[in-house]
Amino acid sequence: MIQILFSADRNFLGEVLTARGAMERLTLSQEGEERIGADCQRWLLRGVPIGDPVAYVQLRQPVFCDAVEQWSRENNCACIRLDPAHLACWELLAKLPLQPSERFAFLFALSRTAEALLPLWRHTLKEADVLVQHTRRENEQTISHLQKRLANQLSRSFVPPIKL
Amino acid sequence: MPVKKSKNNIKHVAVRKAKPVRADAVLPEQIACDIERLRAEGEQLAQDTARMTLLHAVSRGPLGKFFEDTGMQFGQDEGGVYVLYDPDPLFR
Repeated sequence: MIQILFSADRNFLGEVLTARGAMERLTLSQEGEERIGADCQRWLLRGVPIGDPVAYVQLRQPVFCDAVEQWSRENNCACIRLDPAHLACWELLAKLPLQPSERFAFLFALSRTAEALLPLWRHTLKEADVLVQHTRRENEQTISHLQKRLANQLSRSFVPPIKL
Repeated sequence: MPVKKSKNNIKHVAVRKAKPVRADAVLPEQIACDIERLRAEGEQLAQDTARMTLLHAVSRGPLGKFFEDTGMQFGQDEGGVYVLYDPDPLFR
């Protein structure tokens, strides 16, 4: 299972991969490093601090993934749980140029989608990716045309008339 | 290039006149600005494309039906896409 962590303002912070509840791998984004990097370092040393009074849940405990969710709630973060079946869709969604809040909203919806509908999500996400690539390619072509024009104009204005 | 020979046998080559700049010619600075603007607009367009493709899919067909059945709806405000059904208040 994979848990995706977001800040309160919906910025992607990182992913926690778990197996049978215990931690397998933790990956943080650059923003995640800045915001919760120090906390995650402490998880490795002492465990995940949850509750009041504080109890520490170790990485290898089967309740680790529940502890991460509780820690997220207590630390003003959001945690979305995904089954391995949803992972391919999340990878496609993460690639799309969306606002953080939009990416979060679509992932939230995706995480609650029945497995039978995942091929449809995958198809939609791939379609969006193809359209985005097409839009970018067309724009790059226009920019490249303008750059050539700019280069021509600049070279014309700098080269003096040739005298032989 | 026309070459003339003068009486003292020195070659004179006519200097090509620079083309006069047309009044409506686009200045390089303007093109550079256009490039920057196009880059920003192109990325915005790519973002709109992604958002609209996904919104279109989740608002109709089997995906739309699924969200309708679960009470989940998508909307769009000035800040972008939001989900109307959200069981966790932290997710709002």
